[in-house]
Amino acid sequence: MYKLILFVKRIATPLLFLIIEVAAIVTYTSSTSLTRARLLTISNEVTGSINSSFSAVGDYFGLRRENDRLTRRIVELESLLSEWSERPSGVRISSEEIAPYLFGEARVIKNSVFSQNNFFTIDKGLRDDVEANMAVLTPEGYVAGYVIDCSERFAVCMSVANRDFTMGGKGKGNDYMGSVAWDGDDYHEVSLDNIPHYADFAPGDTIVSTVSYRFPPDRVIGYVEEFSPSSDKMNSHLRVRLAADLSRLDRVLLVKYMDGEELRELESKY
Amino acid sequence: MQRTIEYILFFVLVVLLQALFFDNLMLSGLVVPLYYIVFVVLLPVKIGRFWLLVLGALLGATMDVAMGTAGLNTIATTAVAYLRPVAMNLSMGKDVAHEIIPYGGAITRASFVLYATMLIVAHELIFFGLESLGAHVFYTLAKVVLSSAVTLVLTLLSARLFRQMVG
Repeated sequence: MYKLILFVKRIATPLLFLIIEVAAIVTYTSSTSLTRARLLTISNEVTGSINSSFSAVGDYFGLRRENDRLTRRIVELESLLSEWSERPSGVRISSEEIAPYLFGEARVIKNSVFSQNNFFTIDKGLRDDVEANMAVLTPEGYVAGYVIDCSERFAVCMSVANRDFTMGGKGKGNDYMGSVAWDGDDYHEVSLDNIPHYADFAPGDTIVSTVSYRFPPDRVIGYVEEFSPSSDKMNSHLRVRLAADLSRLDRVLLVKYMDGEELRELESKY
Repeated sequence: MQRTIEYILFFVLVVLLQALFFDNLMLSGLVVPLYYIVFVVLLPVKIGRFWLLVLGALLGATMDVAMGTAGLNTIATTAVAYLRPVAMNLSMGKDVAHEIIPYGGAITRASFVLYATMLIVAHELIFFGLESLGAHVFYTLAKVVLSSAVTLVLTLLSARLFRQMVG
């Protein structure tokens, strides 16, 4: 009996070590991006307000850049608006048509780009009607990510530079579609895969979003950097330089697709 | 355990520094200091292996919630806590017998650097190795080397301050 107690005492620590390690490894390997986002949502409860005051201080240093950016954007939107007002009225498809997309703004208070699964946190949450699957765009309208989990005051968003990120992309003008994914290497670059082998792209071509339950269509994702036509008549592969600078996200636009939930439900059936 | 309150405060400080400062630093993809391991490095010399393991796992789990890594920090930090007695024997040997914290006093600077380096490199190697899962090997190794170097410098500074405050 005494020997048994001695034995248990001797192996208690290595046993505890094994138990903790196995539990941690199981948790880690079975975790998804949603689990990780949930954890960040919990830690935001503690660090969120501190991070947001830090980023408020940082704001003063970026005011000039921010102003330039806003002016450029106003010019762009003004020219779009003038095009619209010149159009003859009465071309609407339905008289009851409402805007299918709602826009909002938020500030990024915590960001990461050097991990394999990058997320960023914004200062708007459930009480501001933010919900999962809203698209996040830069002020210029470039794709940055989408909301994955919300708490009362904050929301965690999956960055385009996340190995679990995927969305539809197509060539602006030629409409050949493929899927956008990040390979975990450089946060300036993504790949566009599964495009048909006969599709033709040239470096510099613009890649934009396709309609999905998360993203509004025709938003710039990036520009073709390298086009490798398929050798086996299967699918071609594109390297795309992201338009958004993910390491310098500050103000962002939130986009809610009013019919998104309906689309997601319908698509999930098949 | 000796100096419990000091160590509780140190734990909180280290976690906040990592979560609020070092995780937001974004200097470069190659320098990602996991500074918080300094807590395991500086735990009392005479702490039992059991408590060492429990505190290491607790620190790792806290950082997992803060960084949203779901287990990765716990894996690395628990392993470092388990390896600490070995690293201490290899680097300091009998020098530490009469010390309370593993820095200063009879412990030479060289042996502390060796001891801290072993723990820090093991920690970052496990963390970044598992995170990339064998992809981009050379990039990951460069990341381990550079991040460890920065963490080591920060650890030396913290150890000196901690020694002055706690004695």
